[in-house]
Amino acid sequence: MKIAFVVQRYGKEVMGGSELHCRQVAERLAGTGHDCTVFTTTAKDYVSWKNEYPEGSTLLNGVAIQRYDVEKEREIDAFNSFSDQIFFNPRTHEDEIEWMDQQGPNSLRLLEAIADQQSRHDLFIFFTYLYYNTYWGLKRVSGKKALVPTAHDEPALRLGIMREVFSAPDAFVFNTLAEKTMLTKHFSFEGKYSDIVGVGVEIPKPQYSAGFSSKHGLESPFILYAGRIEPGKGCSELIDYFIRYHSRNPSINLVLIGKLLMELPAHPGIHYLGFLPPDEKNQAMAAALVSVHPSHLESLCMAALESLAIETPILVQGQTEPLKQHCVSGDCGLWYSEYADFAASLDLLLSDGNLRTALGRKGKEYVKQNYSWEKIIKKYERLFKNLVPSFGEIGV
Amino acid sequence: MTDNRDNKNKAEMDIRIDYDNVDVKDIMSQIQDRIAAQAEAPSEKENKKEEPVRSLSMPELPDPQPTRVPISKSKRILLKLMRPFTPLIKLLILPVQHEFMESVYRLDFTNKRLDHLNQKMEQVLESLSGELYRSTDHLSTKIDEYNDALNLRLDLAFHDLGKAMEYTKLLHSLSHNLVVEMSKLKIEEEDMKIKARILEKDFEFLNNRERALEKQVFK
Repeated sequence: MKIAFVVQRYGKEVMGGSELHCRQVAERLAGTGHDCTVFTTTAKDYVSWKNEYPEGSTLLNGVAIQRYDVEKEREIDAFNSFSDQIFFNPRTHEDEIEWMDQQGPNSLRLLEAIADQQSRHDLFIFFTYLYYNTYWGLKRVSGKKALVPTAHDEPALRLGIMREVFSAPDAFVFNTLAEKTMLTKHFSFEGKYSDIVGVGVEIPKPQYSAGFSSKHGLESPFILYAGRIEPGKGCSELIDYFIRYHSRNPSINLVLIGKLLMELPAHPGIHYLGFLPPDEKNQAMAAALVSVHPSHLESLCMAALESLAIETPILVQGQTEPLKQHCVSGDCGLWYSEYADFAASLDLLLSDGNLRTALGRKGKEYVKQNYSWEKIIKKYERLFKNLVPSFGEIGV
Repeated sequence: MTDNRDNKNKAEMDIRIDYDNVDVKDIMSQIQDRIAAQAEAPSEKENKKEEPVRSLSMPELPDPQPTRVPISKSKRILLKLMRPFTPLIKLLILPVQHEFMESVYRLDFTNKRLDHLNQKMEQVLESLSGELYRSTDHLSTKIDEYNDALNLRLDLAFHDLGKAMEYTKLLHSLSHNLVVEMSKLKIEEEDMKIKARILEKDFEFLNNRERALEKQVFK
């Protein structure tokens, strides 16, 4: 089948949640014999949408990529203040269109390419509901289209134009039941195909974690945060909680890995190790006693699933429903919503090795059951069969 | 290592766990109950917390006032000299020091955070004032530009108005002259008409005279 993906950024260096999600799905589907093309921009940076990749066509791991220049960079400060004004004041449809224009990434040539080439594809899959390319792209495609919203509860969902976004697709692919439940409060999906799919996670080979701590000079046991280190991901709150916790448990360290986008306090218990390659990230997860996922805005959290695949239990922000649901559905982690819960849950996890082992084992089973690539691909193919009845016939 | 240290924490928390069938909801509800119970009786816990610190440090303290032991004269003088510093010495010896150090550490950390936040705020204020200055500058330049353009347009308008006034004056004068000339012409016309009538009468008289003369001649 000929599948087109539309996503705001795409590439080996792009590590954002939904963009990586799109790449993994496209590459896996291409690996099973589907003809996959990605329509995207030349931007690498999601803050400014600065054109960094060359414009044109290229191939990455069996997936054809068509990149188009972004016409204007995003002025994030102006956009943020405009968003505050739009979200919390009466607004018109024109205001919301202006908001979407400022949100970006604006690429009319991308939209024209989607419109021109739509007859060459059996299905369009749009990733992330939030951006310009999805809002206008959905309007340009008259054929079959599906949306992977990767949504979390945020003010943008309450904009009137989002009703247009969620009414246009023929099918929806949710990451978790929590995401679907949350979106159902805002939009109706009646009569449309939808499924809870998520993304696949490879179960890595057993990790030899012993060398990791000595390599990075970590003498004491540690808890791990993996991902973009920024206030929007709940890192400020995590660091505040950890510093309070460390004052009475000084033998525990907090190790952070990933792209650093905020200032970290100079503290003897906090260690930033930079951006680690996948193998070393797995070693870090295996060496950690617990991995922490403090984000208030998540629709899936791949880092949590990767940690569970390595049998490291998770401690998550309980107000983020998808994260809490991983813990409850898999019986594989604990959660917190304030410092007292954080300290008590961490106390228990750190003090009870048997509990960590039991949670880790259950976590791995949960990932195998729900997030193996085999199951994810089957779910996507069920979607294709539903939307394109000729799917499965020779040549389709 | 951690397990040994924190087994105490676990014992303190007293959470019942079935390791074969872990139920995280049950664990979390036990944790919540435990936190709620601790919140209800904070004073008891604080007392319990402080107890071991005292019991650890107090027996090692030297008695600050050994009254019955004979003291040499020089030692007595030394003690007398040191008496004003007794609170400080006590502060350094007693377990208060630990808490004091901890408070100092926390205050130091808080100060660092405050410094960091202050620095951040200053940066933001600086960028804001820069932005404001730039905006004001830009605004005043724009206002000047608009002023200049407006003045130019006003000058042109006044110039055109002056011209229009001159034209009006000229037109007025022209109209006046035209009226005068027309009046003159009218008078002249009247004059000419009268002259024509006189000439007609003269002509008629001459005709009559001619006919009368002709009659006289042919008679």
